[in-house]
Amino acid sequence: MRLDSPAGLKDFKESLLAAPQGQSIWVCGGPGCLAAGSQVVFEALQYEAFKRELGHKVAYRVELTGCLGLCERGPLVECSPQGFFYEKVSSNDAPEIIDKTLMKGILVERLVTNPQKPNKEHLPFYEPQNRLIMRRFGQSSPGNFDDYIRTGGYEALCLAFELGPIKTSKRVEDSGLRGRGGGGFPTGLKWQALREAKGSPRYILANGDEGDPGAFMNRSLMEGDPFSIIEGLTIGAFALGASQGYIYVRHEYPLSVLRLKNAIEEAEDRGLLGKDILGTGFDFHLLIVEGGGAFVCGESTALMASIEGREGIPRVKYVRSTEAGLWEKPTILQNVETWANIPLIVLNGPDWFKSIGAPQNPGTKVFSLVGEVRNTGLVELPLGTKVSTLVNQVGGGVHKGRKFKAIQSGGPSGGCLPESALSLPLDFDNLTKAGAMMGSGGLIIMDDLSCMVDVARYFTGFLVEESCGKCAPCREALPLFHKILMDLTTGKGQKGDTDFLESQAKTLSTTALCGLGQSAANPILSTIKYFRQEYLEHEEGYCRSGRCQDMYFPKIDSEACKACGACQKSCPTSAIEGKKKEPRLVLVSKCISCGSCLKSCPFCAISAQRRPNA
Amino acid sequence: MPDLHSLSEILLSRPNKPVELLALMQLIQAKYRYLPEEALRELASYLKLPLSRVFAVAGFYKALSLTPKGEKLVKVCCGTACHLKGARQIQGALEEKLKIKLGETGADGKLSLESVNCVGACALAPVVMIDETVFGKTTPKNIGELPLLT
Amino acid sequence: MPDKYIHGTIDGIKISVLKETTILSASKLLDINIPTLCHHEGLVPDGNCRLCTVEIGSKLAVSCLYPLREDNFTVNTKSPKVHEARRFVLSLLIARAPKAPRIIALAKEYGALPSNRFLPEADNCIRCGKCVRICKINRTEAISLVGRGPERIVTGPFLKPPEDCIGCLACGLNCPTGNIPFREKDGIRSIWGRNFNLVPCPECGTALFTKEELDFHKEFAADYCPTCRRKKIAGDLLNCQNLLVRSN
Repeated sequence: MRLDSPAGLKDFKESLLAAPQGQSIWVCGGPGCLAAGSQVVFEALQYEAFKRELGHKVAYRVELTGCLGLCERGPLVECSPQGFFYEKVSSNDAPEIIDKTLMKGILVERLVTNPQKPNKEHLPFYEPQNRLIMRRFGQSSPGNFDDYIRTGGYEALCLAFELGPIKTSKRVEDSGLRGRGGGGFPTGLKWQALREAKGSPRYILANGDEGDPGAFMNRSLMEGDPFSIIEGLTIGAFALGASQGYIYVRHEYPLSVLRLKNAIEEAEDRGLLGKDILGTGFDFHLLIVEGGGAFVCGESTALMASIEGREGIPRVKYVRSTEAGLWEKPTILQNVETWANIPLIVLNGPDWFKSIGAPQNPGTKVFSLVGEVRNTGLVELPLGTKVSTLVNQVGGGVHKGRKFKAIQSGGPSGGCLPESALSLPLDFDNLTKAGAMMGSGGLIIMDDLSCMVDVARYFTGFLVEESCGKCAPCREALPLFHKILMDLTTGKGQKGDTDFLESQAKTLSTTALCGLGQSAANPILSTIKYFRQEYLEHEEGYCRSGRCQDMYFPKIDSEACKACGACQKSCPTSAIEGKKKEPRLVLVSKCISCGSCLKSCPFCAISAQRRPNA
Repeated sequence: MPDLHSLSEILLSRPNKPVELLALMQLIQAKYRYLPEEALRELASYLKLPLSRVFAVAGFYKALSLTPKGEKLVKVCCGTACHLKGARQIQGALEEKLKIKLGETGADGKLSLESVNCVGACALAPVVMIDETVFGKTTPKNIGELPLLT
Repeated sequence: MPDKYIHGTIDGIKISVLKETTILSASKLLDINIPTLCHHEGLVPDGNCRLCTVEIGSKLAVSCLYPLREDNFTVNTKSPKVHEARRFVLSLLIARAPKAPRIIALAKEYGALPSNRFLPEADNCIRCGKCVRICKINRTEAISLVGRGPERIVTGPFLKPPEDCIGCLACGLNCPTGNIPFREKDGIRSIWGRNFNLVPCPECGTALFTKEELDFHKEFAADYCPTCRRKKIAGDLLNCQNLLVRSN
C-alpha cells in the first residue's frame, strides 16, 4: 500500500499499534551469531512452532533480528515482551523455548545468566550501554517496513517536511554530531557547506565500505536496520536539495547489499522513496553501488571515483567535496552510522542529542569490541565513556591471569594505546591526541601475549596490500617499513631500526597524498611511542610476548605450575616433559617457539624468556 | 575460451553508460568466476570505453580477477582479531592441506584459497569461510574437519 | 577587479597573484625553482610524485595543485621540513630508478640515498603516470596504470603491446626517467613492442608521422611535414597576395 501523505503514515502507524503483538522470539541475525549457527536455531524454533500449529491459536512471531551485541555468548535469543535474554542457544533448546516461553511466557532458566534478572539490561556488558542506533535490534525484523513504522520510523521525515529544509538542516548543524566513519569531522559544517554551495545536481552519499579488519559495526547496522539509513539519507536529500543518492557497500557483505536493496524497493513501493514522496512533491532516488574490494575506497575521493565507475584512486583534495565531489558536483558523503543518527536528531532535537555523550562529542558510538577480552561483541556507548569501563565492565576484562597490554582503535589508520589509556574518555579528540583515532569504531584489546611489533607489522602489511599506489611515499615507503618490521619480528632486526622507522614514518605522514596514506604511519608511530622498549628488544632478537618465532624460549615457573599437562597437550613437537604431579620442563633443543604452550597454560605459569644469544 | 553466450544478456541488463563499468564487471565475474579477455573487449565496446581503462579497473579491485577462480572459495579471515588468535597458522595449515598457496587456485579449478579482511565474526576468531559459510574457532588441527572437497 | 588578487610572500618575496593560482605557478613568476617529476604544463596536475612539496603556513602541500585562496599567505619552498620531505621522496624513487639521470641529479642535490634494507624492482619507472595522462589527453588512451600499490605498472591492455597506440611518441618523449624506449630505423618506428610504418612527406621525403597517427588525426592533419607545410602555406599566401595586388 502506497502512503500518500504524512497523515496517512500516521494513521498507518496507529493501525499497526492497535493490532495485538503477542509473544515474540527474536533470534540474533548479527554476523557473529549467524556464524555461530543462529540460522539453524531460528529454523528449529520456526519448525517447532509450526509443528504445534500455533499459528491457528495465538498471535506470535519467531524472527531473525539485528545484532543483539554479545557475540561471545551467541547464538543469542531475546523474547519480548518479557525481555528474556537467552545465551548460547542451540537448536536442541528450540522445543523448550517454544513450549515454555512462546506458549506460556515462562522463562527457560538454564539459558540465562541470572534467572532472577533474566533481562540483558542487567548484564554488566549492557549496563553502561545506550542503544540508540541499535534500538531496533531485538524489536524488529530487519527490512520489515511495518516493524520500522511501528517503532517510530519515518516520523522524523514527516517532521522534516513540516519544518522545511532550512530548519531541518539547522537541527543537524546545531546538534554537534560528528562523522562516525573516521576523523570525526563536524557533520554540521558539511551540511552548512552543501546548503550554501552553488550548483546542481547535488548528491547524497553513504559510505558502507567498512574495510577495517576487525570491525563490523556498519555491517550490523546495514543488516539490522537498513531503513534508518535510508530515512537519514532521505532527510538529508530533502534538507540539502538533492534528488539522487548512493549507498556504497563493501562487496564482502552480500547480506547488507540484499537487505538494503529490499528496503529501498519496499520504501519505493510505499511512497517513501522515488517520485513525490508522501505526496509532498519531493523526489529522491537511491541506488546501491557495490564496492570492488579495495580498502582505499573508504577514502572519500576514491569512493566517488569508484561510484563513477573508475579505479578507486584518491585525488588531491584542496577543494571540498561539498563544492566539487561526485562528477565535480556538490556532494555530501557520510558514514552509514552518521546517516542513521540523522532521524534521531531531527525528531528529538539538537538539545536532546547534546545531552548524550560528552561535550564536543555528543551522542553514542557503535563499537565492535574484539580481541583478548572475555566479552566480545557489538556495543553502543555514549561518547566519553571511560576506556576502562569499556574494557573491564563491558568487555569483562582480559582473560584470567593475563595482563591488559594495549587497546587498538581506528584500524589500520589508528594506533595502539597502552594501559595509561584506560583512564581516557572514549571520544574523537582524546583518541587522536593520544596517537590513535576513532576510525569507524573497531576496538581491539590486546593482552601481554600480543606483540606490539608484530601488530605494527600486521597493519603495515595490510596497508602494503591496500595502498592504491598513486603517490610515491605510500607506495614505496610502506614496503620498506614492512620489510624492516618483518626483519624485526624474525630475529633479523638491526640496531637503529626503531629510530629509522620512527623518523621515516613521521615523514610519510606529512607527505602522502590522501588521508589513508597520511595515517598509514599511525600503527608504527603509536607502537613505537608507547612500546619503544619492545622494539629495542626486537632489535636484539628478543620478543617478550612469546609471539615472534625463534625470538624467545618458554620457561615454566615451577612454583606456578600446577602440573595440569595442558602445555604438554598443546605442544606440537613434544618438547615439554614432566612426571605426574611434578612441574613441567621445556626441552630447549626440541622447542620451535610456536607459542602454543604460553596460550594454553591456565595458570599463566609460562613466560617468554630471552634466548642466551639474544 | 569460456562460453560467452550469456554475455550479451549480462551487458543488456544495465544501461550502456560508463558509470556501469564496475557493476557490469561484477556481474561478469559472478557468472564466469573471472573476467575473460573477450568479455572485457565486448564490455569496452558496449560502454564505448577505451580498452586500457577497462583493463585498469579490472586490475584494481580485489573482487575482480583476470584468471579463473575455483568453484569453491576458501577464505581465511585475516582481520585483526583473527590475526591475534593465529590466522597465519591457519593459513599455513590450509596451504599445506590444499597444496596451494594463498591467492592461488588448484590445478583442477575446484578450489581457490584467499584471504579476507574481516567477516565480522570476530568472537569466533580465527575464522575460515567456505563460500558463504563461516567456520569459527578453527585450529591448525581441526581444519581437517572442514568440508573442503565435497 | 582588485578583489580577485591576493597577496603574500614566497620565500620572503612579496607577490600578488590571481586567486586560485597554484603555488607552483606563482613561484614560477618569481623565478623560484621547485623540482617536479609528474608535472607537465599541458596536463591537469596530479600531485602524485610529491616532489614539489612546499610549506604553506606550517603545513606541507604539493605546490602543483595547491590553489592560493587566502590573503597574506606565506609560502616557504626551501625550509628544512620541505628539504626532508623531498629527500624522503627521492630516497624512495632512486631505489626504483637508480639509472635515471634526472633522479640521480635530484637525489644528489637533496642528499637522498636508497635504503640498504629493501629494494623494489629497479625498473626505472617511478609510476608518475605522465605517459598515461598524456596518452589520455591525446584521446588515444592506449596505455594505463594497472594494479595497485607497489605492483602498479604502466602497460597496454592484458599486459600486451597496446593495440590502440598510434606511435606518436608523446609518452616516450615526456617520461621523466627516459624509461619508454623507442627507436626509428629504415622508416619504421618501434615503441611499446609495436612497429609503425612512417609516412614520408610527399614533398621532401622526411618521415615524421606514422600512418596510424595521420589516420587518427585525419580531420586536421596535413600530408606534408611541418617544414614543407609552412613553405606551402607561405607560397599559397604569396600567390594570394600577388593575385590581390594584380586585381588592384
